[in-house]
Amino acid sequence: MVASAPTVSQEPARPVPARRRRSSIERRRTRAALLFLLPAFSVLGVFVFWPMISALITSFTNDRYLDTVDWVGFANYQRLLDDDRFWTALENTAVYTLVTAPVSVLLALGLALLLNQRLPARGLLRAAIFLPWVISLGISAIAWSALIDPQIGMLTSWLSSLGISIGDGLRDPSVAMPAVMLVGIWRNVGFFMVMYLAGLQQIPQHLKEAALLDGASSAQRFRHVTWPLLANTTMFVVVIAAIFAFQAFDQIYVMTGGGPFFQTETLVMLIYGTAVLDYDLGYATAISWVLVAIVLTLSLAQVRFFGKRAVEY
Amino acid sequence: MRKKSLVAAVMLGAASLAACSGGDTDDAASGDGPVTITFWNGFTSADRPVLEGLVEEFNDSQDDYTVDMTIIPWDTMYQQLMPAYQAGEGPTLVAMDPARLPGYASRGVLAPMDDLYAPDGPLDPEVLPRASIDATVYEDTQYGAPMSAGAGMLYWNKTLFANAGLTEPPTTLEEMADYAAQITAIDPNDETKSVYGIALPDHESLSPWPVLLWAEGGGIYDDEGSRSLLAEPESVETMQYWADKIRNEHISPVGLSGADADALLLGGRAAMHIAGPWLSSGMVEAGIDYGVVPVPSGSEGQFSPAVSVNIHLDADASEAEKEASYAFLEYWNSTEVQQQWAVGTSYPPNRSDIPVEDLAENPTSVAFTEAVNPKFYQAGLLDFADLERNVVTPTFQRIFAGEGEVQDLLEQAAEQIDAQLGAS
Repeated sequence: MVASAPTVSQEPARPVPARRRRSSIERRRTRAALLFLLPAFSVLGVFVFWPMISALITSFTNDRYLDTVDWVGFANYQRLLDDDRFWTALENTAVYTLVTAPVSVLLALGLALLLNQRLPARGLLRAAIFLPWVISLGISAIAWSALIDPQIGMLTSWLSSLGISIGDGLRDPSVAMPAVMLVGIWRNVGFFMVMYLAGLQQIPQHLKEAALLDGASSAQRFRHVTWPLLANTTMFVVVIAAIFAFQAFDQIYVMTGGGPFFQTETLVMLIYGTAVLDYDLGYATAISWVLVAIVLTLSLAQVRFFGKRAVEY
Repeated sequence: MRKKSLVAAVMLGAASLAACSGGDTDDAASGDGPVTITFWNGFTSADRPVLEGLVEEFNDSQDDYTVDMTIIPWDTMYQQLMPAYQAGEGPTLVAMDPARLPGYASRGVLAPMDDLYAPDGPLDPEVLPRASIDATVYEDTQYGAPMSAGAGMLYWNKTLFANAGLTEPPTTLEEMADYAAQITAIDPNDETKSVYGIALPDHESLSPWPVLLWAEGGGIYDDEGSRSLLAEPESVETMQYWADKIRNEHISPVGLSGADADALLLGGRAAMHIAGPWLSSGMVEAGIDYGVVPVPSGSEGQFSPAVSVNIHLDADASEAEKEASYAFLEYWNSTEVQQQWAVGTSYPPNRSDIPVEDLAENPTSVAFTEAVNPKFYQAGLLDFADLERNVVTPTFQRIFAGEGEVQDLLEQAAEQIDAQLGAS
């Protein structure tokens, strides 16, 4: 095998025709690949890229569904800077994200570690935690609103028999935000847990056994084997958790409508109200593009951060 | 093999593009069958079966026109309406609150209907409610026909009154507040057992606040819709009075929507509530011993919140669709239909020529004809829905939550409203 290698290299070189042939094959392959991508691209183009571009164009206009639409340059983006509503919504979104994303990821990891062990009724517990993910959030939010209604809620009644009062419930700004966060976490934690379970089950058994033979404690095994090998899962889960948090809408729309007095209004709620209820399309699309920029920047930063930490043994 | 893959890829691409384009459906006006018109409204309460029955009767009564009605909650309907009209998919007929009319009429999605009340037109303005006809005029053009008209009244729960040693409903707003305080019984250990004297909603409701302000000489907007009256001393004093009653004497829970307030009244957990006729059949079903009286008078007058829903026509409606629509509007405002509507729903009939004896079957309907001085809350203001959602509601919520001084909050709100009214 080794001896034959020089004979190959000694063959007369014919670089020009070879390159030509290769390039024509490559071109044909590229064409085929593009054709295969065409269906997906055409769907994406029509339903994703075109609406985004069209929204970008609208964000430079004063479109209010009226007869005249004028180009206003960056006026909508400038208006954002002085708009208290926008800054309140941005702050609410940031608070919502900073609480729900880490809490739901940590909770999911804990539950996955627990339910990856042999436990009685393990399947039932996994299903119970995953179930909220399967139910429409709009519908479960209606159920939550009814459960914690201050005057007629079942949960309110149980809590008061334990001496816990929730006051005015969702009508109280200090209760409303924690309540919508809780429902957001309750909804997503099952999905993240399943992701972590998949990650845990991909860790080769021999690595854990090797660590065990080396006398590593369970904490050390988690620190040096499990956690580093879950890095890819963690990256995925954290990025998705942040995106979900930035998109928070359903339960807020149903449970508080962004109120009382905008205390639970997130960016997506603000975009919805500005576009759908106030018909201020130019301004709403400008806020949308700011949200796109924030989510994109954050996601890229997360991918960079976790990409450096990915480990393979 | 590669050729086959290429062909497959091209076909897939073409198929997906074809799927995106969708097929055009012909207007209902074509063909020999009956002309079908669509009709959207939000009569989701106890009035729904009555309305459905009357529309079915219209469809069965003749072969020329069919009304295809869609009933969805009002807030959902308003969310879908403008995008639907912009996409050319809006309903032929739509029922809406007069406060919403300018937003749609100014965008050219509704058809002028001046010929409706012409001498040879289908409707006789002499017997129909003047307030509804006036409320459907935008910039000197008639845009709608009455569907239902009435006013909010004060519902009072006789049992809860009796429990507090009261036998008569209030006749002044001060009495209303005092009675509410006497009836209120907060259970500190279990909020789900507390009873409130009154339910005063602050959003998504027939708002009690304009009426309470008008009765004391204040208001939210002036009658021309040119500026806010919230910072006027009468308004500030009135809001301060009710804020004290709500925050210190807990006469009403805070942050209620109209539906929350309805639920409290229907559950026997609130003794009073200002609402329209739609609540009456629910009260009967819930077995509550109740009465209905005009909203009590204040120091400067007595008012009732006018309730009016009118039907409007799509600007893109064809001649055939317009003809069908006018036939339906004529049917709707006929004596027989209005009598059935009134008896079935407790709304007063649209027509003034229906004698009270004909409504005897439903005494609540008769009671609702006795509302005092009904007044619309800002019909005709272009930015009404926007201002209500973005300024008025949050300001009232802040006041009742104790987030700032009443005077400061109202001054800020008035400033915001004036700035927007000046700009539009």
